[in-house]
Amino acid sequence: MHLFAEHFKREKSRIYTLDARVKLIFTLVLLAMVLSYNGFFFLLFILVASAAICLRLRLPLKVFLLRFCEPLFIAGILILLKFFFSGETSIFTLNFAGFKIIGYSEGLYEGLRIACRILAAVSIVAILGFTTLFTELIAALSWLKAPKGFIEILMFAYRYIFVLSDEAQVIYNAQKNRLGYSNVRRGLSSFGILSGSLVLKAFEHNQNLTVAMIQRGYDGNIPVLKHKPFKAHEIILSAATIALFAFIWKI
Amino acid sequence: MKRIKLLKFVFCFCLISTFDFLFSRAARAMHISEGILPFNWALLWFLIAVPFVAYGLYRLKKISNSDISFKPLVGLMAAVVFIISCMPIPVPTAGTCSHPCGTGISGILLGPAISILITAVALLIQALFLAHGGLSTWGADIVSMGVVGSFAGFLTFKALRLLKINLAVSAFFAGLFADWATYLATSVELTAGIKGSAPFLPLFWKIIVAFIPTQLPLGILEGAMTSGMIMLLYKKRPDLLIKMKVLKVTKAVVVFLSIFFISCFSLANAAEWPGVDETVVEKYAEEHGRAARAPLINTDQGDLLLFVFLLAGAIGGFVGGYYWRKLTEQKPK
Amino acid sequence: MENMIRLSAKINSFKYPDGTIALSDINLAIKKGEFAGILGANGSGKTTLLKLIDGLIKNFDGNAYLDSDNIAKLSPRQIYKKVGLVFQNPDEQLFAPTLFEDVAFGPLNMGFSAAEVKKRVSDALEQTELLGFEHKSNHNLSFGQKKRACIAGLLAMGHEILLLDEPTAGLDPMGEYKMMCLLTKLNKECGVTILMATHSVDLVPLFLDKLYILSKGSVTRSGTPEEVFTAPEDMADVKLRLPQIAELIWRLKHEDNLHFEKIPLTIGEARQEILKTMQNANCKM
Repeated sequence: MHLFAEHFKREKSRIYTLDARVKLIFTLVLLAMVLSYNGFFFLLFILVASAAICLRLRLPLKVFLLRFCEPLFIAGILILLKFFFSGETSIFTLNFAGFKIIGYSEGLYEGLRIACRILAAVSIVAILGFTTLFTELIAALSWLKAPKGFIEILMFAYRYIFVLSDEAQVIYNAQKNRLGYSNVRRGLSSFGILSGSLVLKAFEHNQNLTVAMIQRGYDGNIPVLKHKPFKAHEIILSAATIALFAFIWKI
Repeated sequence: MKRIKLLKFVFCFCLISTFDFLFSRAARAMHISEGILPFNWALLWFLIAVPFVAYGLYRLKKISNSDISFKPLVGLMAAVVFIISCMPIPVPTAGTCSHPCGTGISGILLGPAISILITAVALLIQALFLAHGGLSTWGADIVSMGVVGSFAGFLTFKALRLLKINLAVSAFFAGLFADWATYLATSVELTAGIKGSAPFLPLFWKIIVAFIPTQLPLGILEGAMTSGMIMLLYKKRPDLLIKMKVLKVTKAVVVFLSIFFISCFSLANAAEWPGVDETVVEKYAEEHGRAARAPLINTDQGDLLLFVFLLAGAIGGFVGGYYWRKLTEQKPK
Repeated sequence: MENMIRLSAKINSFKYPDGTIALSDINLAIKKGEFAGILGANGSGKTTLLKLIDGLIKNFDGNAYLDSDNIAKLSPRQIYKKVGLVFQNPDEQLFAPTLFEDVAFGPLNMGFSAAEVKKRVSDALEQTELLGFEHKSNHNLSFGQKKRACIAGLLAMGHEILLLDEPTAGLDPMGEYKMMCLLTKLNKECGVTILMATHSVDLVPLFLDKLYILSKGSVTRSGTPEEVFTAPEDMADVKLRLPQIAELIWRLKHEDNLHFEKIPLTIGEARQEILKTMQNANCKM
């Protein structure tokens, strides 16, 4: 589970220290622009810009591949799907084993556009994910007045993902060492037991956790520290960038 | 001559299986990836998801008022769902690994409302840090995985329990239907999002067919897994199942179930979804010599969309109306 | 008021819901500023006893008192103002994403101002040698750091009495030693009364003032380490053993008939004793 921002070595870059609230709002605005854009230019611009930022971050290549393999697959499939199944003007026709495969130009255009949109959107969110600590994000969300219950659950979930995944790993290894996954049937039953024991562990941890929290004055709500004030230059800078993007978006 | 035919056949088979392989990769975990949905669709699904999540939060607040350990428990279960939906399980027909969604189990254990909340939390973490799903498609994923998956799992489980079918089988079908219902809902969202000006149904069938090789077996696997989990809990900690009211079927659930099945039944009967305009107005208009022209925005879905909006409005109205007094009433201290 | 008894428990019996007897015949009194320990094998009821003293278990036959108030009648808030219990598994106690948020949780609940909270947190972190890790995620801390973080979380609230369940379990020898030094420092310098449950016989005599030996749910012996560790057979009865150095001297004394005045428990004392015996032997020769 080395996909969270804190596991990456932090190069010295402004973007890491930027206020998470500014980053979050910036990302959301940019995302809305990308999704509502009808064309290529802005999307390509975003792609180039985020590629430049990613290069600056100097993250390991493996992380990128992991991050982008799924969206790339989906983008590829959508291009194919659109290319062969929708549109009117055919570019080429393949007569093949009794099948007639027709490629449509409108479909190709649409497919490429959707693929660009996917990649642009993914890279924007990926940069947010790479450069922001989860705790900063939680604080930013609470500043944005996300419901308190939601934030508390997000906090608990984040903390216990690590504890429980370690425990899951232990159980999985124990099962695997004793041939628990040697065939599909066995694997399935082992998997059921593994996930069932995770639920059991969750219940057990929960009892002790609650006692430990009550000991420290828990009464159903987690108090939050006050937020730091915004830095003026960060806001001005990001507002200017957004204005620039909006200008490009317009044309 | 024969050899050429055979070659063609082999080539064709290879082509289809590669295509299939690619599709099955795309179907991983049934999340809709970031950026697939255009802005208006993303917003629509988000708006549909909001009342459900809000209801989940309300339930959370209500239960945690009487049980202080409930919030940490929901957090822990969200972590469990997150981990389960990250674990690869082998799907033999597709030759790859896929992920279960785990909403069936949380639906059964904690009820659909809390399960929606859990899914929302798990999806947000996945969207931000693992690139499963996305921020912009968060709403759509909550609707398909959280709302549809949890309700399908929960209702199936309770309905089968009501019919006195044993625990393992009920859990199996709960997992199965949670998975398949999620798959259907995802296909609807995906089709609506990418179809552009093309008609809805042909693309929808294509996507459904494309996902069948992974989703059919995956649903069965998820069912088996859910059943295994529930049986383990039943053997080791039956007290927990009793405490979470998993084994009981309450009156509210029965009422809800009957409403659900009646609406399903009427939905199935009205498969065509012709609208009022088509059946009544157009008929008379045509009789009087004024045929309808093509609509400006053609959704090709009859009144399905209208019905969805009506349903959302009705549910929202009920929820809003019921809790209206909460806004004005003082909380007893 | 140095000898004021802060915690006391007299338990006739406590049964688990399934009917097995968990605790019986226990008489325990912890004085102010004392560093006491409950020593027992696995499954002897140490954790249950601590939970009972902390007011987490109420339906037992007997009485437990905190500063002459019956614990069963106190509200959780009243108990947790004075007493803090640290569990064995640190992962079950650290719930916030970062160390700072976790330690700040208690003081924030007590309603202190932001500045006061920060001061308390940094004081607690300094005492537990965790300064500089404030903004690290809890899952990135080492096991020993997590254990100390749990203690810091309670220290920041200013507890006068700490109950610790196996504070040294799972730590390496250096970590064990450091943990015990930390607890001693808290006890001697900050005046925190400590009761800890443990099964590590080699370590405790170095640090503890008083010991209760728990076996099968009841206290079989109590007193200072010297009074408790007498003969290997007594210890084997309660599934424990003497500290290794004590066992060595005991064997030299009883099996090899060397003369020792007392059974030492620590390496320092043992060295003195051995040197003394050797000098005596030299004189005789």
